[in-house]
Amino acid sequence: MNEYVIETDHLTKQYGAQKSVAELSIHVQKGRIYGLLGRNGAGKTTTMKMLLGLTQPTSGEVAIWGKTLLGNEKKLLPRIGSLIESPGFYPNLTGTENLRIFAALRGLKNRDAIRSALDLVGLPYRDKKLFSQYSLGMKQRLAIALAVMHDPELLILDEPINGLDPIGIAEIRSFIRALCHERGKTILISSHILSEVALLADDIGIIDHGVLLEEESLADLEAKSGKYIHFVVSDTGRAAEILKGVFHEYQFTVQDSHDLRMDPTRIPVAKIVSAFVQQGLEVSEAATVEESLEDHFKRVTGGEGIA
Amino acid sequence: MLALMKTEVWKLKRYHMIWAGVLLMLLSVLLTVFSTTALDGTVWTFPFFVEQVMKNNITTIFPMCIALITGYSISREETDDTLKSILTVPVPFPVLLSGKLTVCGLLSLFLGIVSTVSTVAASFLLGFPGGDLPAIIRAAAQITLNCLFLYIAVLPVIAIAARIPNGHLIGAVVAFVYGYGGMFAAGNVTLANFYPVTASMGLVGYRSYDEAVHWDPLVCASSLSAALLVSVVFVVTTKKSASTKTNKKPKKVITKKGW
Repeated sequence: MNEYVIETDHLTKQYGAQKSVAELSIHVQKGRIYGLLGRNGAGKTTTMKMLLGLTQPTSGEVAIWGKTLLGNEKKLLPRIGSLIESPGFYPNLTGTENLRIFAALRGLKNRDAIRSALDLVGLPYRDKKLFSQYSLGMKQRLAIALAVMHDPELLILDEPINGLDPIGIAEIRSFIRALCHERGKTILISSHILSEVALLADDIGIIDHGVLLEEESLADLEAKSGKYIHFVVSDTGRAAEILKGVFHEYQFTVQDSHDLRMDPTRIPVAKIVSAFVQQGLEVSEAATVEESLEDHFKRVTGGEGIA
Repeated sequence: MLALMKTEVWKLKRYHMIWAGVLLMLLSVLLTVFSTTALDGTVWTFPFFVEQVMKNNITTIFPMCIALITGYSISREETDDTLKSILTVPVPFPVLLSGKLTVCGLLSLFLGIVSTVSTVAASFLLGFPGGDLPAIIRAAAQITLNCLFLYIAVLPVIAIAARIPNGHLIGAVVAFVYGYGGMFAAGNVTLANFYPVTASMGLVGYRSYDEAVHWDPLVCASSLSAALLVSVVFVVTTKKSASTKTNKKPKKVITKKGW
């Protein structure tokens, strides 16, 4: 049985007549990285805000470690580290001074917590540079340092690589992976960049217009979006009979009256086409197609794809 | 709460608003210095100079000054986008607000000390008589405590403004009008005791030596207690989520028509 760290039940957020998040039910397993993938404005940030109690859901429930968030904030939130939207810090203070404030609020006893967190993200300890003078990448790193400073069991990171340079992205990626696989943290990240989620996540939830379209492990998704043979014929019903009767082949799906999709097979495509033609079918297309993850997402999201 | 107050003090480091407060307190003294130049036959002494500084503090400078500083320190949690990180600690917004208001109470004492120091310095520079040690101690206690009591009087305005996103400017304007109203309230003995701004004067014994001035310390204390109670109610019932961040409306582009 899977142990869910985060479980939402028909979570909905409505602003006026517009549903920002609709009936969302996600399941984040312990010790895994869950990537919430969606276009800008898909409802990722609103979902994360509801998971942290920053926004109250219109309906539905959030359960973290099996407990409903509402009423258990004092017990649950200290075990969570988060980064939501842009990094927010006091501009008149240095990075260390900013972290010192949150360390005091969290009642952190470990004096090295701030230094360790800054070391992890590659920022200097007790630097004199004020937060207002930080570059976007440095601000993002400081926000990640704040999220991990109290050694939380669960991390909720909204677009954590925003504003980072390619080297920074690689560093943060391996850092997030290490947090999960070496230190057993459960991580929920959101992104609109498919390649990033594919490189990081163990499980993926695709969200579009506030609706969760698909929730599967990356391995299952990759299996789904692999190679297939695509036929365009005059009658797919007749073609299906030929595949079953002549070739004893059952691994195919009829898309509509003309389109038929078949899993890769050892039978040569030319032989199948020849059989179709001999049985009086018109074959206008027969091709081996390799669908990428991106193509799969495009299909799932209704052709709009993901940036 | 102690940790929260400590962090609120840390947040004031390199905070330009504090300097704005100090300058405003100096301005109050400066305004009084200007009024000493009027050739209206007034005999200026140290105690009289102190009273005039207090009058300017009460009716013109301090309510607006402290409402602006406190309001700004509250609204910056939204403008700097730090509220979400505080709420997820978790620190409930009313608790955060209580910490801020307590620290700003201490700040009002600090501004009172600034006002005292500048008042004493200005009086010595102008050579007013009567500035002996007991008079200076009395002035220090009166000015400093008056700032604290004025802060309590203005607290309901600050607490209400805290509910409005970026409401610190509205709060400062309302506090100015509220403070200025003290000038009119002072004309009526009963009203002066009840009106929280002027009640602060009663508690520090402003012009108590004058037979025409009748302070009722109990009524004054009740008035400020009521202001404090109203503020507590507003603070405790304040609800705020990080999603209340104000979004600026995009400017309407006006395209020129014709030539």
